[in-house]
Amino acid sequence: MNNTHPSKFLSIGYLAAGFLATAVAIYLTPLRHVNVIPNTVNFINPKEFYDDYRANPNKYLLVDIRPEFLRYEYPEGAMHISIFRLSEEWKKLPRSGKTIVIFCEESISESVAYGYLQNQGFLNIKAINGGRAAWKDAGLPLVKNPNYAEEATPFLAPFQEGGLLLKLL
Amino acid sequence: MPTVTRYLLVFLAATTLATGTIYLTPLRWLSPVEPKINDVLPQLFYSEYKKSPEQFIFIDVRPPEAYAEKHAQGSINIPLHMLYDERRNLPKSGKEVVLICSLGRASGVAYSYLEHYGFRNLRRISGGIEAWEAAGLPLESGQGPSVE
Repeated sequence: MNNTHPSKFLSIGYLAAGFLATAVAIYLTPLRHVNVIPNTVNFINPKEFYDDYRANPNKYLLVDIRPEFLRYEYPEGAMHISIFRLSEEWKKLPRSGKTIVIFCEESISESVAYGYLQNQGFLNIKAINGGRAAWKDAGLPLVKNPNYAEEATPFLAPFQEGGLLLKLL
Repeated sequence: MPTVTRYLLVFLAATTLATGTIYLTPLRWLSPVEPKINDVLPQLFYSEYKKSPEQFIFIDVRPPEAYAEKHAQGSINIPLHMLYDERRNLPKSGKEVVLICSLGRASGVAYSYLEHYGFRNLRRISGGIEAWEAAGLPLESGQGPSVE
């Protein structure tokens, strides 16, 4: 009877050592980039998201990844990090506590941003299925970007609402 | 069964268990070490590229307007978001995929995105098109052989 105890103890030791050695080998070498299962994007339906977002706004961090020239309107409360700057600004995003929800024009850039963040080790990400187009189709509210006309399309500003040319006419 | 064989089996079982647990669950997204980017100086890359251009796929990931205005000689244009489709046409071995953009921001995103999909043959031009220009390397303008 006395002999079984040290042997059991040793077995557990070997089990732990095997587990640890494998984890180290996978995480610290290029083995990490082997995709046994194909990568997928975790999409969320705009309406479903919006209802839950309104009920628990602190549960989510909505991130608009569109570049400035596409942002003439956006969902209220969305943080703005352009996809072109994500490699500098991803450190501002939380790894836990909140679900990061990626918002863009369609779902294409969302998938790129999603893959990027997942590669940086984020587990708490979702993307709006269909982006702004689907958001609008679902009748969900968007707010106008007050800085849009001046910053992004200066040549159009005089023709737009409240612009100089319309006032003269 | 001899004790050594038994411990070896236990060790192997643990290895299999760990591999399964990591690769088949969201644990595979954990990144204990921040992913590194393999940067190359523009001059260094250009000298390699001149010798054997066929070994490289040189991609500018900026928007088409920026690319048309000015781009590094030999680079093709695949705007960042287009990589979503184009990654399927890029080789994971044999050729090296070299990324350039403005200041290395967007190509940093492109790099990690491709890495995420299993590309290991990646390099980024450090400092982007600005550094390329500052190094006095040849530029071109116009649409070029872009990918639709």
